[in-house]
Amino acid sequence: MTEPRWTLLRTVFRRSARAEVNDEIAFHVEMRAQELIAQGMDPDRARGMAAERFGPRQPVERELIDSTRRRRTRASRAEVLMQIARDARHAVRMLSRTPGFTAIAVLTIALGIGATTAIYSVVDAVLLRPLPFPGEERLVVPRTQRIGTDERWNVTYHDFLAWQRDSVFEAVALLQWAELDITGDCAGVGCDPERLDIAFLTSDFFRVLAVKPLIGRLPQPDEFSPGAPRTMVISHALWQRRFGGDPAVINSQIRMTGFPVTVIGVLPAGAEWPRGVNAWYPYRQGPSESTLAPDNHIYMGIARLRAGRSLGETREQLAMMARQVAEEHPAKRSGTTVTAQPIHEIAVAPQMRRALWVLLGAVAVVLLIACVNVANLMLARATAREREFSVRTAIGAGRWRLARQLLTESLVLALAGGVLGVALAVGLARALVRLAPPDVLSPATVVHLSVPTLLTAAAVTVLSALLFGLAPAVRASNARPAQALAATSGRTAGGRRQRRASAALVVAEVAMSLTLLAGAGLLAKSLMKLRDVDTGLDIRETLAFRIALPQGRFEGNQQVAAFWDEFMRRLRGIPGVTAASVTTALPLGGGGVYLGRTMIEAGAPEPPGGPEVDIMWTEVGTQYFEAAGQPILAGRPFEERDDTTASPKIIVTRAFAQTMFPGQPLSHAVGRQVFSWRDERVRREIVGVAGDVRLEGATDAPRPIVYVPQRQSPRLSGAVLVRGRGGAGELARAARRELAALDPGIALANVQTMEDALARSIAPLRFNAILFGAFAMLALLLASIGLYGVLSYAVARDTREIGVRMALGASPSGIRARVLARSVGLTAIGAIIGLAGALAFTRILGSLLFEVQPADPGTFALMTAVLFGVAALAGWIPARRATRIDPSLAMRAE
Amino acid sequence: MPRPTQLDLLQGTLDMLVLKTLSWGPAHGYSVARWIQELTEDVLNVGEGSLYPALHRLEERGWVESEWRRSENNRKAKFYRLTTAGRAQLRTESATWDLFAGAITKVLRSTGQPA
Repeated sequence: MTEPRWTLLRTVFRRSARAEVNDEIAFHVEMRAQELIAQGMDPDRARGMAAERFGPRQPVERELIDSTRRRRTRASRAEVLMQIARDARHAVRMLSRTPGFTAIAVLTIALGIGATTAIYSVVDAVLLRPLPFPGEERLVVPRTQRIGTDERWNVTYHDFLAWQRDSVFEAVALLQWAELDITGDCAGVGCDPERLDIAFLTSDFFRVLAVKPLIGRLPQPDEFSPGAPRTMVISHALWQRRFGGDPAVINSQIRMTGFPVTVIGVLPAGAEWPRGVNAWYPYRQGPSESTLAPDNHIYMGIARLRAGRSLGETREQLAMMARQVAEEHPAKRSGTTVTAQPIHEIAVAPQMRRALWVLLGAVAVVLLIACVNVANLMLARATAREREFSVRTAIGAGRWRLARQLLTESLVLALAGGVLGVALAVGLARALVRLAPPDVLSPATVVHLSVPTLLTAAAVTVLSALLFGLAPAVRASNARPAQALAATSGRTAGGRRQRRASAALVVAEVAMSLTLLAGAGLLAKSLMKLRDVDTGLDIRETLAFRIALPQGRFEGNQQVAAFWDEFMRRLRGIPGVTAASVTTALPLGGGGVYLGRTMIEAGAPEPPGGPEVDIMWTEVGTQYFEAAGQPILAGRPFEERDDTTASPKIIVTRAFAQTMFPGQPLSHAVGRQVFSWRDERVRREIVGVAGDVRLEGATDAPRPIVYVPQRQSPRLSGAVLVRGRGGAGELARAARRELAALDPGIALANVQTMEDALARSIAPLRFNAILFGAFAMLALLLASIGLYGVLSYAVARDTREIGVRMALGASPSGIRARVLARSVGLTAIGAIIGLAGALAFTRILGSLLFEVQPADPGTFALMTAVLFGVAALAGWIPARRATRIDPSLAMRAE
Repeated sequence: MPRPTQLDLLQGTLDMLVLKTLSWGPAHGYSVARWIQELTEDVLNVGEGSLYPALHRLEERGWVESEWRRSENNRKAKFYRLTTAGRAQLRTESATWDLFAGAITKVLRSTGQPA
């Protein structure tokens, strides 16, 4: 517009549009009347004449009022926009005057927003987003459970029949994992035999999941009967990978481990249950006597809750039915019950679940620290500008004007930080999915940025910036200008109050960082312990892979045993190979199956009269202990003579011997007879005691294990261990060559070194420790920036005082010590609070730690020391600056 | 608001006259009306009331702006003045008018029918 005067007058003396228009017209008519009177007309006539000459008044009036209103709205809108633009320009100018402050504030906001959003988005994708099944919240997995514990396992066909009979669920199905080789007959080039994870299903499986095929059809009920043609449904991933997404795969026959199967359907992408399964087979065999046993827990269940029946009610009914079974079969089922778990609890490993929540907690703390930091920065900045505000108040700027300026500055900061934060969140979320071990986070996980989280994080940071930025400004504008201008050296009540506020903020930051640091330290220590973990094995130069023999072609133990003998002979013949063997389950979580059994010593009273030992049952070939690098501590390893013609022999682990024969030397176990008293009841003689081993991964505690000679019960599938020099790749190629020469229809699958297996079992913890450590470092960095900011600011404020002291003869080292003491003092208070917080917080880490106590004094001490070190560093620069102050200049300062 | 073309012409003319009077300096509506009456010797006989919608229209277009001030006889009056945009508009409109008027005059003064 024009000069400010016009705008000001217009806003102050603004009347309603109607009044203004009335005045304007009245003025005109009055002027005309006055002129007519001056010409000698009678006043009354003159007024009538004037009105007449003006013409009809009402339509004009209405038009003018409308026009005035339109103009006013438009003008005020334009004014607001211009004001915003002006404010924003001013804010950018003010912020660019302090580039250091601005960069730190923007980065802090970006880190807070970005990290929180990324982690929450991952949590959302992994833990909270339902599986892609309609009504997935009503899908449950029935499980057997040891009463009074969290130990759960699969269910029995026996119970499944009872659930169907009593209609416990809307629909329920069983499935059994298996591995089959797909051999040839594929559309692609170089179709090597491939090992597939498949599931055998009972007929209601797809009804439970309520899943529809992407193409083709699902199996009909009659395809679940003996003698029905073999059909299968395949996963989207397999369809794409092996058949190039060709719809012609439907109704085509493919060869699976020796027999043809017709593909009848493809499931939509992601609709895989259980995860990792590539093909679903109808169970064509009815249950046998053995599978019907009330303690044959080999089936995984899946069920849909009945409409109107809650999970709790269903659990009650399952428990009641389990009690009846336990009463009927006390030897087989006493001490166990049956429960149901929501499907998403099964889909995400509990360890992963806990890790993600802990990470989310850590990142929330980082956000909080970021907020405190921004608040602190704003507080320091606003305080430093108190004089500016006082001056502006003195020359007439309103409180609203100042508040608006600060608001704009905060918003400009927040906007810049927000944009950077979104970029950071996108990058971080992608990096998380890429860097996470596949067991932790499937590479296919689609992470969408969580917009509500983004907005919440942004709002929290902006609010804290505003709150602490506005308070000093408001006070500055409240104070009487003269007083405020006089009070420039920070000795006013306001200055002290702000100092106390910013000190409190720093203490809070220090406390929160120490809490995170302690957590990170514990995880790092766990990781170090895991790296040096004694696996009980020599895993160098050991290659493992899995193979399965086609069912139809190998009839009877004789043929199967002959295959294994020949394959082992060929493997041992590879140059550089020192041992080769086979097992049902690889140690260190390498994969495979083992049986849970309960053993007692022959001749001892049966429980509850006598003790029993829960064991893991695995079957191994000769040379197994050599190939695995597991020492034999007493007795002997298996030999060729331990075959079907010999009496049953076993080797047990040290944990077994010590549990079964407490207080005895290991050699005491050798020669003893034990048996699995609940089911098999075959007496087996212990011929050796092997060293303990971690069966399921590096974090697994050594458990009692029983090794049974494979030659006494040959199996169609197994994991092979080959120990030899020459490199894993060369060994694998040689093994593949030998297998192809022996039988080209068998796939060599899951090739890995035992070192890989160990690394993979450590990977989730490693991932946690690295992420958590990164967040803790971030927290420490933010806290040290906060400390540095507060101290620099304090030094700047005390320039005059320091000058006086130095003029009076204070030594530079004394001044330095004073500044440093302040830093250390604040850190000490924060550390005390932080240690208390850490004690509470690290307990949550619990199962994520490995052989480290949540309140590990060493870690706590180390992290506290790190914190003090950083605090001293953050205090050092301002302290040095303090001693560089020239007394004569300092006294004249301000 | 559709209006007859006749009025559009009249309106445009009135707008031009208002802009011209304001080009001498700020004035309130009454003096604008007086000047137009004087200069045209009442030939155009502008209805005084219709002057105001024209003034407001011009203000909405940003060609004039207004403020309330004391008038010569010390009464509060709404004064209008030309903006830079208004001055430019006046130049355009007078040029157009000259062209238009010249053309019409030429036609009316001609003696013979064109071949």
